[in-house]
Amino acid sequence: MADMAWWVAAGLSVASVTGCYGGRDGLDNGAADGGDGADGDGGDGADGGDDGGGIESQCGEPSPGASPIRRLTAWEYDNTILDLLGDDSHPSEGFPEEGGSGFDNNADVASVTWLMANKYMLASEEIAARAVTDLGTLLPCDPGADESGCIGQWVSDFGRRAWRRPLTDEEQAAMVQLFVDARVGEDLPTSVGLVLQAFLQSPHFLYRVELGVPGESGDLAVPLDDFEMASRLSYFLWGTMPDDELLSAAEAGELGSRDEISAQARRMLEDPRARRMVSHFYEQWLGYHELAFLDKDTGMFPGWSLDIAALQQAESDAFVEHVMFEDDATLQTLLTAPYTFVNDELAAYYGLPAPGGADMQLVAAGEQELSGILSLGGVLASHSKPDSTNPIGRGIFVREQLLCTIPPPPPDNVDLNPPMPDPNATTREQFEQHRSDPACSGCHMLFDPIGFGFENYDATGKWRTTENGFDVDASGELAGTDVDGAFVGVTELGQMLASSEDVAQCVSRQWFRFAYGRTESEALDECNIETIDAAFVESGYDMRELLVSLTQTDAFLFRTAYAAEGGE
Amino acid sequence: MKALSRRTFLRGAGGIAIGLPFLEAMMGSARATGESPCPRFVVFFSANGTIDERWQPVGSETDFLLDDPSDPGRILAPLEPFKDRLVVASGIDMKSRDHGPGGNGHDLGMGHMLTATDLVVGPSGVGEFSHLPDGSAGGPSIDQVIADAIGTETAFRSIEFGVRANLDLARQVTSRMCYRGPFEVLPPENDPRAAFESFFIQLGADPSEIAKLKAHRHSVLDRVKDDFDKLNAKLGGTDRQKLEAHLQAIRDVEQSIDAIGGPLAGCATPAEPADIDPQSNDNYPAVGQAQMDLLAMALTCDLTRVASLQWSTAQSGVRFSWLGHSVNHHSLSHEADNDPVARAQLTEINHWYAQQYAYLLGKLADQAEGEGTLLDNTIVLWVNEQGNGDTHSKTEIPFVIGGNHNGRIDTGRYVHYDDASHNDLYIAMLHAVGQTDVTTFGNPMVATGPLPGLLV
Repeated sequence: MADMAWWVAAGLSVASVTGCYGGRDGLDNGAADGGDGADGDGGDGADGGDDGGGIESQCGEPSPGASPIRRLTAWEYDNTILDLLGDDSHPSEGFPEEGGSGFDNNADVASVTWLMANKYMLASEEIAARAVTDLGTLLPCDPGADESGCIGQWVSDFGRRAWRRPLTDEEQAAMVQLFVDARVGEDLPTSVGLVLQAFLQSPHFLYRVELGVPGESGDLAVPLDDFEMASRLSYFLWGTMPDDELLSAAEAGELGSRDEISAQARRMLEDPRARRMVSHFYEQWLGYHELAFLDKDTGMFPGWSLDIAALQQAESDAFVEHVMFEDDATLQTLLTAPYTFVNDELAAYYGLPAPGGADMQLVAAGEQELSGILSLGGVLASHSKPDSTNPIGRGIFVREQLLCTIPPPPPDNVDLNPPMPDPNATTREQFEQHRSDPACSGCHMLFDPIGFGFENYDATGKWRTTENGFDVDASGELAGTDVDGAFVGVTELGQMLASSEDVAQCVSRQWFRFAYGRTESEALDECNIETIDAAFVESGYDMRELLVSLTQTDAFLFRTAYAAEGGE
Repeated sequence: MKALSRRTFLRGAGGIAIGLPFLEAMMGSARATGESPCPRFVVFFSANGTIDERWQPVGSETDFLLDDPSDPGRILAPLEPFKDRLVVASGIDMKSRDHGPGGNGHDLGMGHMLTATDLVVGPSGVGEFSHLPDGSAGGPSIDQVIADAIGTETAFRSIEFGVRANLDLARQVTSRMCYRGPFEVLPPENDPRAAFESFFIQLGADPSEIAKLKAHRHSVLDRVKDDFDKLNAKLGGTDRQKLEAHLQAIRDVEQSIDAIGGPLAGCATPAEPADIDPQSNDNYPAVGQAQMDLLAMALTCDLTRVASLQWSTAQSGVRFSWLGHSVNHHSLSHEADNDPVARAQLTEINHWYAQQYAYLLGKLADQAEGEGTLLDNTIVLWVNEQGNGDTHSKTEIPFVIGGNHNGRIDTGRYVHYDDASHNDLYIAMLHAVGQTDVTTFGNPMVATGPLPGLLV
């Protein structure tokens, strides 16, 4: 009905306004309407194996919290196309940027508009064109022998992987019909390509559709079916479609218990795809995901270039992967590890000993302090200005991202930027007003003194002991936390933060947001939060165990029933 | 009515078939019957406020200088050649900013700039510096309201161009300006090459190839729409709304497919934009010019009648390195009231944007249409999310209205309003494009009627 209103409005506007020329007279149209495909109601019960109805909530009544439908992010889209078709062309390049708050996979993204729908169409055309150049690889059978039989088999096999569940009979028939209609006037590759395009533009590909397993009428929350669970696991831990093992497990009904799900999670964390996910999380959490667009004043920082920024990205990725998969994966190590990763070029920039070669290699702290993520050049450069270190920004980074507290806003009419660099003073001295002016100091004491602790690293993340000829003073202070106190430099700061319960809880909340694509709700997620916090404490703050625990909450195992929201 | 019969009918969600051809038949007859030219509407955005005294023209309403030889470097000097075809409107405020949620001056400025109504808080509430990290403008933007009226016959209802108009995840309201409604945001295309591919590549292709492409796309999208229809019936709440919006977007794509056709007089497939990184700071001028070339050609070819060009975002951090600046735009804007160097550089930035605005007007003025030029039938509205960038002021927003839409706007004037509301400016814009029965826009508490003294 809304649709009709739109057209009626359009008609009115024509009558009232646009009796005009200058438009394209008689738009050449001639588009064919192929009809609407097979109609009818066949029921959608694509149900593999047993349902997940056997899982008990840990919260009494299942309390999944909000469970918004999630559309593939650009990153997930590329990963999925790679795993589905072996196409590593990153077709999402050029998709409009999207995101809710925090992470790119936040479900509260804006709706799809023309621009995105058009990009999906163009991408599907290009992907299909590439895929059909090698039908021998794409098709599971020889179409020469029995074309219709072979296409039917391909639709079934490919559909199960593209839509991450078996097609219903009705869906199978509709896709085959699209092929048959196309084949009347087109060659085999073109016809297959059109079916492929339809698969890739379908909501069943672009969205993670979760209808759940219908329970008692009136249930507010329902468990997921096994295929839906397979996708939850794969997109959380890998950022891509389920592998064959997950799909087979779903088909066999082996994703319906807590133990089965946690066992899959542990298996998946051993897979290289988990490393990709971990890097993706950390670069967003720690804010170094835009190093490729960093802008630094090269007059002030000779030797810096975007090549250095790219190496800092590699350094950061190598570091977090090492902590998570080679070292002990603890929060302590993340914040205090006395090592980083460099190659010869980056080592030369930082003034660290060359490890020998172009590959990133572990180097231990020497003269320069190193304290986990707190001393990563990419993190520090990302939270600096083009020409100055910006202690405010670095302090706010610690408060927001590591302590999960939002500082109160400054008055509307003050300069929110650091002062212009003064060659006759240290950065620290230039922020003195924040300490001396009572209008500023109340808030700025919460973050400026944290930021000062990073002053041994310049705006590009490079170690320094002097600034403008003055000795750097890296003394700082934590206030308003559970580990308040003075410190000097990042090593001491790292030790304090690593002992903070506030930081540990913040880390578990950051992973919550990333895993579930939404911000936690104090009211609705109490049980979910308690579950992961308890697991994190019990494991000695092991972040791999935190990831596993995120698969054991009501938020992961259930979803809000559409029936409770007016759906079918 | 013969034109009607050969048209394909679009099928709505409810199975109601309503024809595009009706619209086209109306339009097709327009030129023959000698009616007025089609209105076009373009928004041109630049950020971080202006230096008011360097922006104001010198002189009276009808006798004024944009370029004062005795005082070189005035911001609007590059517009001198177009002085007779524009209105410089000062004294217009964003009064709607006094209402509704939001505390950050850039959020408020950008979110209210084209919508003139209350912001809406997003799921994560209020964040750093009072930003609404995932909030939204609270209503449709003026360009989209105008597109509802004049954008339905063309391949593209509207086209949003950007130049490094990137989404800041923590400050989404500062990043976007075009909305069909709350949370229905229209992101701009920041890459000229991608814009070229989307909008122009099929112009001039072999007609039989185009026909085949259209048929293929329709057959695929019919299949996809069927998936959406069946699925949407099973969903509820906001999930269903999201997928309904996606389905509507697919229908918009179909409209653009339908309208791909032969070129008009003066319309040519533009040269493919150079392969440069659209995100590089130093490429900003070149990318902007490429986008303006495409925008002008999109209007010339009547691919769309509504367009926007968003230079960076509110709180723009672009560093004008090509002007020799080492400090970025936003930082300068907060120094300009105290530091003469920053003030001079902020003036240079706004002067540079005036050059760009003049370039776009020039492209439109070069295109003959009817008895005049395309510019004569277009409104190019230059907007800013602030008046003064240092204080984030909501008053004295520097509006320039270029073009006169077939004489509807009384151009060649420098009008100083006294505390006018930008809601009223947009009501006047709607009147200018023919929606003369519109009485309000945005927040009705601060809307009174079409801004007086603007329309003929």
